[in-house]
Amino acid sequence: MSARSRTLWTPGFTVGVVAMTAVVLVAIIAPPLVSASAYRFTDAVALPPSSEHLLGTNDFGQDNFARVLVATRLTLIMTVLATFISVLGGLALGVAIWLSPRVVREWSLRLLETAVAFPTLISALIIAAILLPGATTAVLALGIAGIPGFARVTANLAGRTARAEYFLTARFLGVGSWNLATRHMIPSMAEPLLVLSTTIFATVLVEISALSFVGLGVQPPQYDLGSLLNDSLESLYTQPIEALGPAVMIIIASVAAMFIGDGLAAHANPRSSRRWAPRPRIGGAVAVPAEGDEALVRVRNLAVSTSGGETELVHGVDLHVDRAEIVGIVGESGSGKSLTALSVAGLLAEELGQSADELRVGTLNMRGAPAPADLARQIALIYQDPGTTFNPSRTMGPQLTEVLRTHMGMSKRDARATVVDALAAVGVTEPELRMKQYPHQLSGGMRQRAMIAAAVVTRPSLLIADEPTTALDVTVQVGVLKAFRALRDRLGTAILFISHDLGVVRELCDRVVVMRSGEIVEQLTAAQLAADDVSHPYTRSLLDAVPQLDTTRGKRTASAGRAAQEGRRP
Amino acid sequence: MTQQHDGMDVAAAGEHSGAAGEHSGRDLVVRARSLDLSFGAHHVLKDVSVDVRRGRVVGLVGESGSGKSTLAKAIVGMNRIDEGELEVVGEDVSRPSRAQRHRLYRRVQYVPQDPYSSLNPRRTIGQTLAEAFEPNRRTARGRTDLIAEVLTRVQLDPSLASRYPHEFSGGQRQRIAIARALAVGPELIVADEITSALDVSVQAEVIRLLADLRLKGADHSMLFITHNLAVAQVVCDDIIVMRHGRIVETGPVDAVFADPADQYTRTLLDSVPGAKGFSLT
Amino acid sequence: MALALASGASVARPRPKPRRSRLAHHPWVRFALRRAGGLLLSFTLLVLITFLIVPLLPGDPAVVAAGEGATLEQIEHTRTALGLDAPLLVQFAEYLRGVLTLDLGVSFATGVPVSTVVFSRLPFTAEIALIAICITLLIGVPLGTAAALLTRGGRRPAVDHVFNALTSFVFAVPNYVLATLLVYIFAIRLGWLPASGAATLPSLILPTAAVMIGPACALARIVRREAATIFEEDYVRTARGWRLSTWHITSRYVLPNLLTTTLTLSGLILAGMLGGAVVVETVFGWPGLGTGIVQAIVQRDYPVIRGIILLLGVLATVLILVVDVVLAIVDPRTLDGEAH
Repeated sequence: MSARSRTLWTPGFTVGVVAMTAVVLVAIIAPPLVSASAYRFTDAVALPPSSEHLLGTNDFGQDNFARVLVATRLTLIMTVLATFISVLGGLALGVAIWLSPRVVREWSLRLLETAVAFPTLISALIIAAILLPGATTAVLALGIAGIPGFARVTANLAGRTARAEYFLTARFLGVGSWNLATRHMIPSMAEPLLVLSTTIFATVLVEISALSFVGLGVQPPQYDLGSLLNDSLESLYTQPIEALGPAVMIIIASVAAMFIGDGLAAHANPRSSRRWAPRPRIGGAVAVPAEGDEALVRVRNLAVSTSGGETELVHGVDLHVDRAEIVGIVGESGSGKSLTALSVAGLLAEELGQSADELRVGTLNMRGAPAPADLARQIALIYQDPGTTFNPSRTMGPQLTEVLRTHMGMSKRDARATVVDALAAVGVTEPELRMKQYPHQLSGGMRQRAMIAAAVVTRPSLLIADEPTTALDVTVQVGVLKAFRALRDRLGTAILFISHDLGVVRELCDRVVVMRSGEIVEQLTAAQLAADDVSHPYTRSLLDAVPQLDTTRGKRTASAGRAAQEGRRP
Repeated sequence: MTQQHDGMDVAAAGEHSGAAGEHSGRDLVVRARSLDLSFGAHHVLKDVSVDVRRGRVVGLVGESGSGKSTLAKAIVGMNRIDEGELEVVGEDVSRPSRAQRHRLYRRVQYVPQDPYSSLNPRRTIGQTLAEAFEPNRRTARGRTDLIAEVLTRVQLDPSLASRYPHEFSGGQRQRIAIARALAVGPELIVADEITSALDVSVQAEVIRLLADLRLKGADHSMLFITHNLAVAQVVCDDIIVMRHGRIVETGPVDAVFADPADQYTRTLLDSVPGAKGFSLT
Repeated sequence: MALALASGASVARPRPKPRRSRLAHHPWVRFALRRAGGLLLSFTLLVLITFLIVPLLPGDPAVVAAGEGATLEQIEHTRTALGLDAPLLVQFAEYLRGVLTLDLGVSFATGVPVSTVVFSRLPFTAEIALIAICITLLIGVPLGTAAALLTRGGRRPAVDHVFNALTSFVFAVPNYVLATLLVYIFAIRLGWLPASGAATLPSLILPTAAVMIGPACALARIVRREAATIFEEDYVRTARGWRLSTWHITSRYVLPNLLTTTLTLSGLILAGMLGGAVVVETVFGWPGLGTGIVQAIVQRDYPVIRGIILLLGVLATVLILVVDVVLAIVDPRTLDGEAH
């Protein structure tokens, strides 16, 4: 569920905007009204808070509250100016870097990288050391110190957009540089850069006040929030209330800017907002098969829905898998084939609702809560391999032996020996070496074989394979499919094989279940499929959609490509 | 390693694209001679010589790591080759300068694999397609008609021009991407795995579109990169088989598939589920 | 069929064994070379920038450096002391020699050698920064992981909101404001801890707390976001398929991968804490590099300014280097990659 439509006005963002508006209004309206009591020396020194002086007065008899309001204006003005310098300077530098030749660009990016690693406050101190301390220095110092960070993000964003395929295709259409920039480049950068600007505003606000706080920013008689806070330090023992005003004001402004930034960022990158709804456990751990039910897997009237139950993703699915049978589920994306398989495995995502009249694997009641060890031993799973199915920061050994050690109480050494044997059995070369390697050092075919090895060491009664060969090359796919077949033939493991590829399923499976939009459309035996004995039009269209490889010269079989062939030149 | 296919179809010999033969430059949209390319320690293209003749659809097949995508990107000027000669639509792009790459724009079109990233999500389909007609300096009105024409050509309703990419299905988007490439009237289209990310029925939809376009007499040359041999057979006239950065075999697609001269081509064909030589025992 | 398909011939193609004689190809050597290059670049930049502080002074650097109301004699003295009478390149060569031999001249204000000033102040800042960095990691990582664990898959939205609002709020409170508040509460009102002085252990508590609380929140947010992403990764799904317990998955599958991304991002946060230490020292009258540089800038004591900035720069660079090395040890993949 993408939450792109989610409102920008989250509570945090609203609070931030309201607070920031209030601070800005105060900075605009208040100073002219209160400047007299903020600046005039009076005899009313170091007074405690009263209705006349909300935050008391300082050692010179000036009203503390009035001074905070006046200081806020200067702080905001300086922050806005410094942010402008960072943003405009960073934008110009970033674009210039992106436009420059490759060598210059790479070196500039490296320099920026180095500059960004240097704390901004220290960069600001360098600039403050060159110029005389003062308001202008503070603005320049923070403004310039923020440039590298903004420039780096700008250059990286520009680089990312330039590599985007829509940008590439636009270039091939001959779109000119100006149009490329205004139509594709700038719009794609605007949102992240706006978010970054808000963050920079918040940082500058805090650090410009920090500079004044340590005495290198605004100099007397001028004062901003930072220097005001520093002044109050001396009288922290005698007149602590003096510190309260600037402290609270800095916090309000900073928190407001931060909340606005957070809100904008969250809006720009919506995380899928998921609702968790725990599923009730139905029945105990053990399921007793009905009289005469010999099937290993029995699913009756399975339904899967989104957590609120608004959308049914799978409905009325009846399915069974016999012992040592290979059953294929085919369908296109959104057909519910994977959800069905995950339900059988008891691994359906927690926010999805699930209901079934019966859902068992062997004697495990998958609607209840069977013991993890039983589940791990009985049901093995294999997924598609996009290269991310193994933990990248551990070697293969500890991962492949995980189930044996955790659930079967094997010692580390025994588990290792067992897995090495299993690896060799599924055709992994140099199994001892593989155990010491990291996943990324293995090829895709190797990893998938390792996954099969990890699955078979427990001698499971059921193997659920979800698109296990989809990411593999065809010549590798053959080997992996053979390993599946051998597994069934040798160990009698039943296999539930999920695939979008009718060709693969037709070769491997004993029985094929065709799914579409969450429902089973048709069930066919391998023989029926081989004889092209299909009745449902959807299965028919699916079969026709797959182009058939024809290695006999001259006559071609009917397929989706018929029109294509007619269109070909002689 | 390069072998010219010696099929039974004698008349066709030398007529097809593929292995470098004796063709005058005017016939060829791609003329590559002994290309070599390395990324660091990886030698990705080794002594690659291919021709693509004008008006032919040429399939470039191979498994991951075969170098087919690298070759395609070199042809459109996105990869710089280390050694050899590469001419595309008559331009020398062996070591393309910015200006040379610019001269390929509009004459060569590249259609990427992923229909979700090839259309700018912030622009309507109409705006995206309009870019194809830009240099013609038509009035806005004329452009609207052209866009409508293009959409009709790929069997989409012209009224959809005001919609954004996310409102379309994967297959529709891929059709739009193809339409955009065709609208420019390019001399060469390089299609990089354009059916691979799609569901089978959607894949069929795109294949059918390509076929229809040819039926209606579209006269484009196309380099069609795919790992799916069956799709290649349906879409292409000629085929180039690559492995580990080398050309393994070239020839008219039917001839090559019926009687492959190279052992690897045979292995590849036999690995396709449902093929004659396929067996799991 | 010649090719043995069952063994996946095309995959199991024997790879050339890494030639051990070519040391330069060993990943750790390559890593070291690359990092050494980066270090050299950083240090060159640092030396160049600190050098430029003086020539860049507006107007006649000697006049500015000598301060307001300096006599002609004093100005000329400053000019000689800073070597400003020589051509720029000679000045730089002289400065570079000084940096390499750790001889950066003497402080204008006190006449003490700069290296003595700098190194006597270093321990105080290093103390705060190092302790703060350790505690930040010790608090930020578990806090973020716990938040991610509690809210994974949309669980406990209340915890989610409270965590977000709280960390965001606390992070937004600047460290010097926090320091002031801490002093008021714990030193003045409650009298539990000393407000200043750098001699005893209790005097360390408040400055360290002021420096680390904000960054710890920032780190916790990063960790939480990364952990939430990792909980959705394919390999966690694999581990679930193996029916491993949530604790097992968290400790063996989430945390190790979390460290990679977290460390990469936290290098900047940790380096930034140096800046925090510099500011917070003012509140506590801490005799570290922070109060040192502020004093030096006010007194226009350029040799000391250069010395302290050089040292802070080196510290920041080294800190990031340490993060990179730890990263490479934790996750060997980063050895190969140019960037993470």
